[in-house]
Amino acid sequence: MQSHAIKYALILACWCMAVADACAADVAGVVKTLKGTAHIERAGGVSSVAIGSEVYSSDRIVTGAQSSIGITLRDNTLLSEGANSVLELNKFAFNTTTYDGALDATIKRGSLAVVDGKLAKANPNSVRYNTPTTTLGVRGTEFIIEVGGNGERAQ
Amino acid sequence: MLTFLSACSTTPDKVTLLPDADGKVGAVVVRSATDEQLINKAYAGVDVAQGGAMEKTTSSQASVQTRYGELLAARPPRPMTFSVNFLFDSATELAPESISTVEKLKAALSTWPAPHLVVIGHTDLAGSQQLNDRLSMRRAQTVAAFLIKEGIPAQQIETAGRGKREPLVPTADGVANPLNRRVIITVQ
Repeated sequence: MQSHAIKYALILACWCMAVADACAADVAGVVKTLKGTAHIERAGGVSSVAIGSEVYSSDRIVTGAQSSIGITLRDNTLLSEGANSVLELNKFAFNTTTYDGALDATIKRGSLAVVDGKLAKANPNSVRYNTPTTTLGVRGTEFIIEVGGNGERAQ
Repeated sequence: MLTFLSACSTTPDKVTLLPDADGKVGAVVVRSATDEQLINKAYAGVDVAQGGAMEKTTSSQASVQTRYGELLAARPPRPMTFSVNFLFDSATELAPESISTVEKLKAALSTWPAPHLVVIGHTDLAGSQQLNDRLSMRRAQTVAAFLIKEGIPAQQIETAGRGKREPLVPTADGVANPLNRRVIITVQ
């Protein structure tokens, strides 16, 4: 009986470690700067944000008035979001050995500044930024996107 | 053109290209439902109307700073890289200057927001890809162990091996070159 309990505890421990590993591998980026208020909408829930918070693929990152947030993605891409902004990180994947992966993000409202990372340099066709009206392909660079009017609400 | 302007009373989306930190300028291809433009000059841009019509724009460093100063100030710090070389053909013995490299690294970490270290091993082009993938990973792990011993928290460190895919000195396949046997630490 006791040996069974130990066995299950071990299985559970291994399973937890596997899950923790999977989560660690899925982290897309980390919050590095924060001013005012911001939150992340993820799988129906809302989490508050602090410097060091992790960002995942499919996250929706929302800033309030007079606020901003800066995020470093795992491939060295630097993102910053201005006030009253909504950024959807539709997809992020990056392999540190091959530099294969994908980055697809939509600035639905407000403003976004981007400094390209390793993905855009190694594999520019795998990187795409969007607004409600526009698609941007990048060739290893830095740029700003500002969405006109109320952005997604105008759609 | 006039018909486009009169049709679009809402504010356009604006895209502005910036020079890199070292002054180089890349390019952005902007596509809408009806148009496509390439911008490849510093502070050049495109306005995209709701209907998709585009108009090229020209800005300046001063006006970008005025309009987007707070947005640019919110960008995370630029990742910093540190290089560690190995003695001879070793995957375990670090070159003597590694100690001073670690001191510089620690100085950078002391003010870095939520630091994350990506430690990537590289090899020269001698040997198969499979062998070099393993060797580069071993080099990265050696450096990670050294950093942990020097007091950098293990949970801040990620290791990876890039094998022979990114030589510092380009050579033909099969060529041994000590400068290519290195580990690059990137602070994110």
